[in-house]
Amino acid sequence: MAARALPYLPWRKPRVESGPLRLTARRLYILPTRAGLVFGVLLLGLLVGAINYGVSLAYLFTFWFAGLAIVGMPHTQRNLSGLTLRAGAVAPVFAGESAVYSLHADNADGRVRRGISLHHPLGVGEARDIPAGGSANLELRLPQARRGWHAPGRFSIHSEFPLGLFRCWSVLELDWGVLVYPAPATDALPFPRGEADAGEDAAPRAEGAEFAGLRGYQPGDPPRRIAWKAVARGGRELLTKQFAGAAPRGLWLDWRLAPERDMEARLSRLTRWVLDAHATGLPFGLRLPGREIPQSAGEAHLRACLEALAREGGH
Amino acid sequence: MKHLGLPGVFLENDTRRQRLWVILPLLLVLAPHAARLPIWISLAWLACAGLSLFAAERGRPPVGGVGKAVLALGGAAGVLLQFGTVIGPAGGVALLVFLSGAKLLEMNSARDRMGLLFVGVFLLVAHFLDAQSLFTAAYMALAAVALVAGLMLATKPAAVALAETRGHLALAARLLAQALPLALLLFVLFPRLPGPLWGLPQQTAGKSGLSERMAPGDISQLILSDELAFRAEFADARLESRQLYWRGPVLWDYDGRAWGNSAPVSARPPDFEARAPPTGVAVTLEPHQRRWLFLPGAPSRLPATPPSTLASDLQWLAREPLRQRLRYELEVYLDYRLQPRLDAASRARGLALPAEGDQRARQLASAWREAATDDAAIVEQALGWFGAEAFHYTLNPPQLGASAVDDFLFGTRRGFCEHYASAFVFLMRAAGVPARVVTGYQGGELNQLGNYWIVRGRDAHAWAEVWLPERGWMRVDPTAAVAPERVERGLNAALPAAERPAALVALQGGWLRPLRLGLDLLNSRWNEWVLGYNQERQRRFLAGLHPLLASLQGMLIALIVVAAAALLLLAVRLYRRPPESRDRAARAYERFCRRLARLDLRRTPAEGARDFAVRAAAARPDLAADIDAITRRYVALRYGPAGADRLGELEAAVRAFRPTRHGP
Repeated sequence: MAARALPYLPWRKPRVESGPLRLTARRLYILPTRAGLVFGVLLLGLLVGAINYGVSLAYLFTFWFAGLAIVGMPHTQRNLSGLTLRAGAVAPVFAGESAVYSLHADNADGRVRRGISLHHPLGVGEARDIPAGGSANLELRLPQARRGWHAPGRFSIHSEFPLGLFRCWSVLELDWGVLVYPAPATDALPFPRGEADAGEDAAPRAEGAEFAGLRGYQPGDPPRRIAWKAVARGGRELLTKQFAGAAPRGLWLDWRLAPERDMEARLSRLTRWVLDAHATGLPFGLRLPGREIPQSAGEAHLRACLEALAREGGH
Repeated sequence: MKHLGLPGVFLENDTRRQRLWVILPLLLVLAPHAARLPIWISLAWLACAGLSLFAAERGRPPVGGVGKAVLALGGAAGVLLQFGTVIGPAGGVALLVFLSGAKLLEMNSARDRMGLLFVGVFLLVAHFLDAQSLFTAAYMALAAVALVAGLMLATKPAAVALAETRGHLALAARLLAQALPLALLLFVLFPRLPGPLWGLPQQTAGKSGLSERMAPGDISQLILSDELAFRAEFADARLESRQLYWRGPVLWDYDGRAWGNSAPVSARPPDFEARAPPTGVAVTLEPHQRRWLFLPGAPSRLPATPPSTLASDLQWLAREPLRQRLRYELEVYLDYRLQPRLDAASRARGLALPAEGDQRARQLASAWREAATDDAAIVEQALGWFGAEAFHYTLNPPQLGASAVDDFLFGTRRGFCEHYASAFVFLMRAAGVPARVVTGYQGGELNQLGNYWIVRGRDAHAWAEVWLPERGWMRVDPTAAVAPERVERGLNAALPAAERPAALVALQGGWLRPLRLGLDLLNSRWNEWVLGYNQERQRRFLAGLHPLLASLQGMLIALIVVAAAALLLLAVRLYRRPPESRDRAARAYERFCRRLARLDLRRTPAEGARDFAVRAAAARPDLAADIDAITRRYVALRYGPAGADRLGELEAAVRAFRPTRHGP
């Protein structure tokens, strides 16, 4: 399904909202779908036929189908009205991946809400049913091209149930967003040497890097470092080859040591190094322009480093 | 394909189930069409449906682009060959059915499926061109439920589980039930137009009915048919079967074999004198593709519709053949004197006979003439003769030779109404009494449930009219002289037991009769109020409700009012705030919170009821007792053991809780 625009009344612009919000009639729009318009034309044709041939039952059934379309309209609206929406947590992703925005929808009513989806100019979520008195997570997968903190902006919650003749929607904007880490560099370079070498030519020694073992695959690992042979031997999970060119104690990942010239490319390089260093389990520190994260190890440290990389330069 | 024998496994495929929900509703709609469609279209449709279901596993449609074009063009060519056209009711419907079948091969997107179901809606309504019975309507209502359920399922990206489809069917039925009042209002109020916007459908002719010629054996074909001719309702309920002679074609000329009209009858208005006050009658005539309309007597005034003429012999003809069911209401004189002064031309025509033939009948008639003092005596003499001689009433008369009248009167002596009427009129003319044959219907079955007469093919009859001085044209029924039961109690009573048609016996009596009459009443009301709801009836019905409604402007205003009311109702439904919560305890507590909010004590979303109570009580110590009591009751109801009896206490406490803005 193609993504479509999110129309709303110009004097009722969606504001950025936080916390749970209820979908009430005031914020719901309803209009016929394309199929609904076709159905209207069909009914008009049937009415002309009924008049011409003077067929009473044709009148009756044409009016019946017209009534059906009209009665279906509040049903479509009721399908959305009264839902309580809450922004769910959005897991950080690397640039180039898709973030999954999840909207928690509570249905306090005793009836099932059917076929509800989220729409965004960049993508359309899968339609979900929300059980009576229960809740469901509506998801929206949006591709993230650039690092930093990104708010998805306006999106709509949307339903055509039951007949598909009317579309009911509400345009919303929540104060949520996703942290997008820089895309890790795709090629593997050995870690930079120590502080002393910082000023020298930090020529990469990719060829000379020593194979240091395997670790579990992590998102962002370049395909060429995946141990395909291990997969071919029947491994269930992907493994990534580790190279220990030089992993001196007290590893500092300094932005100045990255061989690239461009800042974004350097951040990508650092992201790669951070992921690799975390995988080795050794403590490492991160130096960025104007910011330094002391040496440490562990998941929380990894997250802190990646966040610092994502937000570098005020992103 | 190996799952053929296992429907459960067969339907495990998602795509297949999704397709089934398009194919099944369409099949329901198309099944009644099949009777009128060429068999190759029905077979092609079924083949496409089967192919579509079996090929569901494959991603791409079983027929490619070229195949589709060939299929569509081939279908169009076939329809063109068969019907001569691809537009219009018959050819258009046939083509649409064929193309819908071809489209079944390609329905992977929601749009394809919805399009097919829309075609189903069109074909459902189009079927009413062919049939409009109560049964058809009920069946199509069921088909509509299936179509609507299909529409709901068609928009889903994936097929739903089999168990869930029942919920969709129930919802479809509920939606249609909710739409019905609106449909009925529109049906009643939408102004009906008098005529077609363009051409009318060409009905197939050749239905059974009376004809303008009466040769021996003609009516017996009709008598064996149980088909409805018309229904009639009299204002006077006390009429009896033998009084009801429904006058149809009047036949003047005999060619030695058959009776007919070789020249048109004078179109002068009939000359008659009423001898009793008229009675009102309403007739609902089934379409019989001919022009005549049936009258039980002489009309006081002809109705405006249909356009018609009444000839001097009381033969009533519509201007156009009757292609649609027609209802007419008029007042008739059952007792009247027709044409007391006979003009010379009519007299000559009423006495004309072939130059020769049937000599024995002529001799018998001359003998009567010589013996009689006046014409009335001759009629008496003839009726007496028919009664006394050994005549038999039978529907299986032997073949008659070249001299039909002589053979019958002096040879076979077995026959039914048309033999008796024909021979009697011949005898009268031979005796010099002007006479003619009248065909039509006699009697009928009285449906006491609705107090109307049901007249069928088997009530078809032929009788004679003779002209007597001063008294005019008199009805004489020679059949009644031979078999009085025919006129008193209908055909079955008159026939020998062995000859009664089995279907007629079964229908006529037995325990099914009340059921059958009830059904006929229902059908009659259906025809009258639903199918016969035309411009005239609409005007009359609406005028009965309110005089203003009877005009076009009135109807349009009423329609606008109804539309406005519907929109208002819709708007109220759409804008009604959905209830905050269905739980009464929670509602009472929300009310309590709203009252505290007026005192600027607002509960934050994350705050528990107890925490809030502590904070509120600290802020307003004067209300602490009430706040504590209400909160404790609420918490007990929400989180404690179930106890619905405490709900009232909570609600009462909240009602009584009316804090003032400023404490003491």
